[in-house]
Amino acid sequence: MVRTAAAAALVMALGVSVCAAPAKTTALDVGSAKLYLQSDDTAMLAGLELFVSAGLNRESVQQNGLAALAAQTILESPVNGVALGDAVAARGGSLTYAIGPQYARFYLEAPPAGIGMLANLVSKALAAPTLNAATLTAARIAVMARITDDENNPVAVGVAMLRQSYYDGGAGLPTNGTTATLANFGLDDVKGFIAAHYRRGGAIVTVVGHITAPVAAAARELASALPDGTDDVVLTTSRAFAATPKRIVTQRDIGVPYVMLGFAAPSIGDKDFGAMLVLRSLLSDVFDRQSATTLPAYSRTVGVLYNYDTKPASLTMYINGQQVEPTAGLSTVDEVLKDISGKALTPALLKRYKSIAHGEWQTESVSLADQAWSISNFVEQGADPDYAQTALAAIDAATAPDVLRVAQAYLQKFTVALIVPRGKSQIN
Amino acid sequence: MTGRCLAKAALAAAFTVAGLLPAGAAAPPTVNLSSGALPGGGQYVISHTDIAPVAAIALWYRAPSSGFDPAAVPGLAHLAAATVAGSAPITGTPLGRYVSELGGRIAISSYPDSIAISALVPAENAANVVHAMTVSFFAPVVSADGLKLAVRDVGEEAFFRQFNSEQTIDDALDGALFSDGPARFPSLGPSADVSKVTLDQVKAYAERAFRPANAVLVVTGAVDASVIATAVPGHVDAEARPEPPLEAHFVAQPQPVATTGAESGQGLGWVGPAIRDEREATALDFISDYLFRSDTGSVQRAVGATKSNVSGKFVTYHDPGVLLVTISGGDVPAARKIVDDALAAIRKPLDKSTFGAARQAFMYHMLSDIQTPAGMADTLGWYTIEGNQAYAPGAGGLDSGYFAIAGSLTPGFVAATVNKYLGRPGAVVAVDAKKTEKTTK
Repeated sequence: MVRTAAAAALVMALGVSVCAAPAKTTALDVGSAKLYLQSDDTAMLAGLELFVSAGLNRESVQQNGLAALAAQTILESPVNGVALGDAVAARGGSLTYAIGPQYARFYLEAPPAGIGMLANLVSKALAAPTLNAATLTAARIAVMARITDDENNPVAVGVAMLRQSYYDGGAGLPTNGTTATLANFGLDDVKGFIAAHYRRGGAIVTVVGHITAPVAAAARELASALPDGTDDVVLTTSRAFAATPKRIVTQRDIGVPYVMLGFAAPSIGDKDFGAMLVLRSLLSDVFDRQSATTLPAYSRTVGVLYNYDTKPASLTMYINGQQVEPTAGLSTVDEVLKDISGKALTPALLKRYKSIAHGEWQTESVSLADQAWSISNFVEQGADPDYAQTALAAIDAATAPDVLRVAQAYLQKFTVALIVPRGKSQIN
Repeated sequence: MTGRCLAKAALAAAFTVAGLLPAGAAAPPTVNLSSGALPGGGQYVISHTDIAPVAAIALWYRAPSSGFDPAAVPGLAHLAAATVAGSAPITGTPLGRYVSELGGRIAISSYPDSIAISALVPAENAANVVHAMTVSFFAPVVSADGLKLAVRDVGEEAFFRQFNSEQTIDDALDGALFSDGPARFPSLGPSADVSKVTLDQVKAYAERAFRPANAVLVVTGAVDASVIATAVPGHVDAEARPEPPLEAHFVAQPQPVATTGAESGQGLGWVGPAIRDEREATALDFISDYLFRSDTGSVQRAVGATKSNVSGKFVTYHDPGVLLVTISGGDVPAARKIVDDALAAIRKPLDKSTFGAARQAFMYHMLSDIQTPAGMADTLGWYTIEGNQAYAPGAGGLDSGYFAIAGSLTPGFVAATVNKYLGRPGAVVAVDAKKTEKTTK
């Protein structure tokens, strides 16, 4: 009794108010670039993200790796004799980049008081990168290290194989190129790529975290740093799946085989996006054993990646060779795919997987970097910057017939990628 | 609408209308932290952030990893927590399944003298999860089915743990540095031993460790402080005092240790300051960051060509803390030389410019580590259970507490702290690669 009364008293005593409404993003035009701001005054850091139309889809086969090399060269541009990335780190921030099928992404993060100075350094490097033999060599070494990291990860290898099989043109090329292509690029190649594709037109700058006046000014500076002009529009297209699944095989120095399946999937903004998120949750969950806590990746039988960073989007399933014999795993996956494409989910199952999808969507973009990426990615694909809320509503509105229709439309045709240990016999 | 919401609306309007805020309008970030006593005893800490519509909820307990009895059972704490999470409470669903069905994640982290059960869930479910977590862990039910699930989960984790060289070396260093207590044993024992633990052992452990008076409940994220009121009081007749922190005794002259692991390696360890010695503890955090932080640490950059994996960390235990360095794989002797040279160099004060840059980077890294609700919950829970909540990074904002201390560090003080602790005899571990093969199940 005493404890119950104490609990009631606690409710009274702790009655603090909260701002429960979802964060809203403010949009501004800065010349031909777009600026998006989502403020959180409880954050102790601020993040600035720049999307430039300088991703894989700007590469030809011969140019594969040039997008990564160009971005890395900018990070290697010296500031008082120190590479830009290191100069930012030494001033209390971080600068990273990533290459996507449709854009190059730079992300700068620091305390609000210091980010203006750092954005100034980044803006100068973007406006006039130092392109010489030393920066090119340093950049090449760094990109080669990224290639090695990817090659040691069987899931990354499989994703790359499936992407290459799915997309036409540069969007399907290896993210960082290959050691062979990288070795061939000279200064003129990098200069030409930057000159052609690092343009203000179509660039997106997103600001998240604690946005103060200096942070806002820094964002404007970053948005204005690139030379004016707009690159040609490149439309990313995908290939149709064959009636019989295509199989692609590779060998790597890994302990156990991985089987991966690649599917087409609805893109951001598509009416079927919410239903596919429900299916993602179902496919992530249905193969796993019951457990006391959330299973770590190495204990999961099947993993699912929804690649909505590209339009058209794709979905990848991987069967973990640590947990299940791949042929048996593939057979089970095939049965489940037939099942969910053959009949509608029961009300209980629909409720369960909508609940899981709702929670997974909310908890998958939490850090400032993830939040900035989400906003930029939504906008880059033509959706509203607050599309996260739209997607949540779409999950909640999905019906059993919706889920069945999406499963029939997207999960019946696929490509299979096999990543087998080097020297071992192939999987049946 | 609260002051914070008004400020946000005003800021948005300023961007839209003027496109730019007036210069000098930089308000410091607000820290929304409160703490107090739970209705059934124990403490709560709550921190509000708006970064994402999520909440991190964690229950921390003062609980030795190898059990309360003199006969150590490595991994007992972890197994007991997993069993409770996998067992159906008197009413409702097992906690692990409940969180999963909300699309959340739940994990258990075990340390020598503490354990954390942590969940990340949508903020709208925070109150229900606080309720469910306290129902499960303030009056724990332990079932045979729950134990079966836990044995499989924990056994698998223990199996994969043996291939983690850093963990193998850390365990051996702790074993060499301490003369008694749970730190002498791995927080997870061999997977074969996990299945030998009985339901009675688990039940006895859970009833002693998992009770409200021994708990710290941490909630962070987009939550209202009233979620704390959904915590149940627990058994009225439960022991009302928390477990005291164990007195850890360290070895004055640690003997070299030779062991086997998945790959060859070496380890170095020293006893450091207690958590109450805030300035010295922060100085060793700074050194760990400057030398060993992944990607940016000066040693990390130097060892690239050796293809060795190197780690270094100061662990801020109640008393004493420990500084652990591990080297594994690749050219271990070459990497060891780089580590030794770096540790020798920092016994002298860094030059002003290098120190200033390293301190800036250190403070940013600490802020980065606590930027998400889960990171903040981990930090608040750890420092509270180890006995110094006010010292937790972020608890005092940027102008007081941890960050004020970090900002006041000087090259001379850091060098003096390094000499004080690393000048003592440390533990040395050599790992010989054994021929083990991962099996496919």
